Amino acid sequence: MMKLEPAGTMSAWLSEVPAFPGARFSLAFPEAIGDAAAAVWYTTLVPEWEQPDARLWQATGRRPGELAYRMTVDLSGDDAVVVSYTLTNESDRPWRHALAFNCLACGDAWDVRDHDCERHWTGIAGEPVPLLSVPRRHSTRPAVQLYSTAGAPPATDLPFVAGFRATPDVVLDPWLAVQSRDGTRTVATVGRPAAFLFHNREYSCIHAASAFGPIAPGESATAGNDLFFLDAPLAAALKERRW
Amino acid sequence: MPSKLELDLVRIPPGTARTGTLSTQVDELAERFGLHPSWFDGEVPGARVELPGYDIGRTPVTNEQWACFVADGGGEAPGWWQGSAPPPDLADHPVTHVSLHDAHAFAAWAGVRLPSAAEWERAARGDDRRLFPWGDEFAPSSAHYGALGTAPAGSRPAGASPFGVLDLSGNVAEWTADQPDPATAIVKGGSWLTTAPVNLRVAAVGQSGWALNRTDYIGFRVARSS
Repeated sequence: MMKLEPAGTMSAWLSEVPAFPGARFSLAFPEAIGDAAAAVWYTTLVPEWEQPDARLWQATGRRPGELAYRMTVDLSGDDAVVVSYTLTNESDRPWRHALAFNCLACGDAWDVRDHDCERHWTGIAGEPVPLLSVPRRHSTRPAVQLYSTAGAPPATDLPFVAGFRATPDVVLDPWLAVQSRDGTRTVATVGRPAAFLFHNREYSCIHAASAFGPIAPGESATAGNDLFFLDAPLAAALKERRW
Repeated sequence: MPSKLELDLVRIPPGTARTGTLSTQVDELAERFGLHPSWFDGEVPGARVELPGYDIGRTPVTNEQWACFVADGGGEAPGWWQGSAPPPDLADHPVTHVSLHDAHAFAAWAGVRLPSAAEWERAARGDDRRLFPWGDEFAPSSAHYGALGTAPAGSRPAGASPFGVLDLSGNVAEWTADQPDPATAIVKGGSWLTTAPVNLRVAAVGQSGWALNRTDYIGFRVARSS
């Protein structure tokens, strides 16, 4: 059974993942959340964790006058972590777009770690493509790159994303994946739905930000993020339509 | 463990640094290494930078050299040392887990400085625009890459640049003094962790990032004006 360990501002460590013995994944969930024009970062809003049962964790966070959220992390699958959010707009502003920006860092998972993106994959119009074949745009942080996703507003329209100054003109399917060094296993992050995708070569981390759509003052919305840790190559995972 | 810092510096004569990648090279490089051409955007259009003479470290700064800094009260031991000295078998390996600011502090203590990216590239390329310090063809035995950790500094003599500078490709990626903005810095050289030869090229900048980062694959070398 996979093990989650809350770790303060870092959010949590995930270990004892059956397909990746000895590996440890860093989860920053959420790394930022709220109004896409004024998201609240994990460094200033540390979630409070509780564990209702062995395979379920819950985290809550609240910034009075701005937002409140509840996040459940379901570990009941042996090869998937299902993260679900309910986000409430406690401000007096209507939010055009709300999001939860999530980080899955593979730097402590040797079999997965890929700072060159040679084993990174995503999808375009339903077809898997190597990330190295996807256009990117240079910024002062060339290790990071953001991508718009199908069905979401163009990432250039999201102030949160524009701050990274690194959005290319390409629309991707809502997932990023990294194959293991031996090509037999796959880690993936999938937005339900995705607001945008993001990867960072500095830490070998992948992100599928969750999109809540617009939220009016006093209203709530839901979104999610699925993480897969599969004992299967990417092609097999896609064939099974796991996402 | 020596208590006195000894630096091995290589003299680089005045000359022209040919930095980055020419726009005319991008399509060929993209085809050769299997990347979309936009992955080279940070390297183009290339430049020619006139430089006075300077000295540069023959290798990256080692754990042993960093230990002198720690022993003198100037710096902190990287957390993985588990003490004020590195594990003996790693004393001659490049120091890692140091931020750009840590590297600047070491250089100031030692009476030197970090090289600019242009100085780093001139030390690696000499008077031409070669892809790798040893030439245009990738030579696996010339760089420590795709490994499980660092190697002794300077242990790949076949990877020497025209000036005899070592480890410019692989072993540890290296901070330079160039900061595109106050929070970020240019990182050069690829590392033991690099698996793609394209990222071991002299012009590559794709691993550049937060100046505050302390990672297991970024170190630095020093330079001195003359």
